[in-house]
Amino acid sequence: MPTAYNFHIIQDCLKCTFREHRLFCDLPREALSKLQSIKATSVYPKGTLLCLEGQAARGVYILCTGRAKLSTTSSEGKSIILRIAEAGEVLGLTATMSKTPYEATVETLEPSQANFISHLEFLRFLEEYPAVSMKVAQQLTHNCKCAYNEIRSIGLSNSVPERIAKLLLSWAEHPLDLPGKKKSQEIAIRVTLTQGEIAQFAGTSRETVSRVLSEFKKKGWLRIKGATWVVLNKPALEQLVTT
Amino acid sequence: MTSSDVIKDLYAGLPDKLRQELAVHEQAVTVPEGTALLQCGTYPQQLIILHSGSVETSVLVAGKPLSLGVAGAGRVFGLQSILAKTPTDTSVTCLEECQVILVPKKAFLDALRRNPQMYLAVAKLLSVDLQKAHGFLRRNGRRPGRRGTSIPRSRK
Repeated sequence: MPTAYNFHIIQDCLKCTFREHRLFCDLPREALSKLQSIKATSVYPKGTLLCLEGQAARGVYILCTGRAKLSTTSSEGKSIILRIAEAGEVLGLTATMSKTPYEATVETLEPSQANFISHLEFLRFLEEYPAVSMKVAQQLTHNCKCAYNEIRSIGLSNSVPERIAKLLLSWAEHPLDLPGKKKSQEIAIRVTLTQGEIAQFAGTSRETVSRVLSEFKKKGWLRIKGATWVVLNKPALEQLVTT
Repeated sequence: MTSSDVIKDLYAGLPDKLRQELAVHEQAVTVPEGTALLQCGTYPQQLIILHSGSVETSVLVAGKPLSLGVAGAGRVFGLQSILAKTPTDTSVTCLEECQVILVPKKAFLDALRRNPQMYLAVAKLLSVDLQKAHGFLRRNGRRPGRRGTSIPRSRK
């Protein structure tokens, strides 16, 4: 049946075809049934703030489809993008686990479906199903790894082209599967961030991002068509990145 | 949170028999100032629970340590690496004489496998690590600047 905006809503976790490929959702059937009974499913347009840094934690969001930007505010009041969360991740975990305010603002980057579970229900869910706690521990381990990588990249004080190349390479790890893709070395990616947001990621200005991307295009390393970007020369980008 | 609280949380709900088994493996050690409890890039063989004293945690950046800050009693080190079976991201060095409780990796993982309810406490400990890392990013996030904005010629 055709759906509004071509958005396919996953209503039933037990019937979700993606769950085996997702870090959190690949749970035993019993736990999935419980998840189904405690979650509230909603679809959010691009730009929705799911939670705000400093806000008392109300619960977690399981990102079913779409992507979201996690950002925090530096001591100087500047916005720093911590990472981009992909479908299958649980957002608001640390705050919910430690009963502290949310430590990052989460904003959807595209129309997204998220399942909300309230703070108390989630903690009860974890206590009742150790397999869920294990998944949460795995996700937190992954998040810690990402945070340490980001810390290392801050310490490197590398150049802006290097940082942008690094971003492109990390996005290239989740390529788009485009029909009729001719050359195997071309990697298509979907970029829904604005140049201003990329600047927040790379710690530079929007103008510099624009200039660096133009340079990449001029060199034949990158092609941009709307939200679809194609990495044309991955080895060149890799060479630019020192770590 | 003290080291006793950490152990209490971690082992909460474990059968007495297993708790006693783990206690046999635990080793309380006093180490002098300057001891490297954990070294970046290595695989820790023990879970390290800081009982007293203070340590400095750091990450290696281009071969040089970048300090993440000072940690005190109750912090647990090596957990992330033991769980993910990957080399540790952080180094931990004693800033003074410290008392630590060491739990061998194998004994800990065995206990975890047999008692998955321990994962809840593990997740809480990992949340603390993540909050510390995010705190560092908040304090030291990249500042916009114009230095180094062009592609080096040699790499063209």
